[in-house]
Amino acid sequence: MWFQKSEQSEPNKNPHPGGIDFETAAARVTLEDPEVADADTELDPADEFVAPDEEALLIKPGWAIAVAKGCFYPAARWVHPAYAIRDEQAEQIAPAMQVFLQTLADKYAPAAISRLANRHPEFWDLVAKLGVLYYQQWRAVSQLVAEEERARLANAKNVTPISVMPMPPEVVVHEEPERKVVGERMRDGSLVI
Amino acid sequence: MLGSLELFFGKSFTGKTARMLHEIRAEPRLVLVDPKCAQLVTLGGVDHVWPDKFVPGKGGKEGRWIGEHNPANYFEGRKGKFCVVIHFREQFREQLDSLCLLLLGVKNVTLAVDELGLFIPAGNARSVPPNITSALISGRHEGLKFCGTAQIPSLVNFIAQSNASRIRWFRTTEKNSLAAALFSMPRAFVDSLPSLPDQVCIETSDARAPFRDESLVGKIKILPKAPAL
Repeated sequence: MWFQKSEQSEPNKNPHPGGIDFETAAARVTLEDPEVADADTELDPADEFVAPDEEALLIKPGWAIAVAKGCFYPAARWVHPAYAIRDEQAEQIAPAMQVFLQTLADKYAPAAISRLANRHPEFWDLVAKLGVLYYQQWRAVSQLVAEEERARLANAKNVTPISVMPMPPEVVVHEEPERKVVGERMRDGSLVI
Repeated sequence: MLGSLELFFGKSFTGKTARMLHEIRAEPRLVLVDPKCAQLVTLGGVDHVWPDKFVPGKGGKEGRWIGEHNPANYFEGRKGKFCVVIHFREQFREQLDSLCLLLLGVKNVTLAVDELGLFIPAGNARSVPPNITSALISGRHEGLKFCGTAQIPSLVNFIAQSNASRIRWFRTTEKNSLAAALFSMPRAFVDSLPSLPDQVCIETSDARAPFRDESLVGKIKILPKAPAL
């Protein structure tokens, strides 16, 4: 019977039934085989204990579709509009595009940026100076545009708005050139001699 | 009496490590984790373990030690009292994760970690390895007490801070630390933190209201130093 079976079963000898005993814990943190250990120590760092990165850039399928369509934009813009692809066509290559973009974001782009930063610090100096110059220009142009707008508004009362399209200037058409006869006068009264 | 999880925050040389050593001096089974390998190297009257080869785990599993300096060898068959300093020189988080698993098996032990921010840095809950999380939130069920020091609270994961039964705040001037202290104590205490003398702290806990503790100024006896190597 069920109650007899439970009485015959082994009592739980573990004083901490929900915990872990020392032997199990020690076995889990001990590596015995030195050959395996040597092999493990030479593992690719990418396979090591890595906590999930919440700030990683994850490429979304929609972005892959947009990039796939963007690849055909130049041809559609400058050759023929029929080069533009539809969403269904873009979705066909979107998976491959997504994998490529993810690899680009995870591997190639950081490597390229770090290479630029490490080997070509003058590049980043140039970028920084260009950024500062662009900012200064933007502020100056913004002030200029604002002043022009203020001047336009100030002169608005002196300007009569055109409500009717002005007539085009009259064009005098002469059918035939006037004939010159010696001894006679022209239309404007001048004498031909 | 040491609580299940206690933290000591403060700038360098304000007395937080000395205070932690003072608080754990009566613990019969003590493991002190040392990531700096500096002044604790010469600590006398205690055992020293130097794990020198560690293989990190894959897929979120705990890593494993190799060789005779495996901490598991130190605890194997050990009954009664002990006091040991384990010096970690690299892979702090991964090694502490494995050590927490080991100590959950050892049971009835106090784990004191110097510079806790090196082991469980700030971040979301998943950034803390699983065995450290188990030790922090349920270690008391296995008789595991946990305490640690850090220079600023933002270096330590919020799991440790939110589960701490007692926090001692030593002198600090860092804005984020003061902002974090504001959650635990009235503003008057927070305003006094930047000018606290050495070995004086503001104690906050679940048991009582915050108070300024000057009782151990000049009285803390650090464990005796070993002769110079």
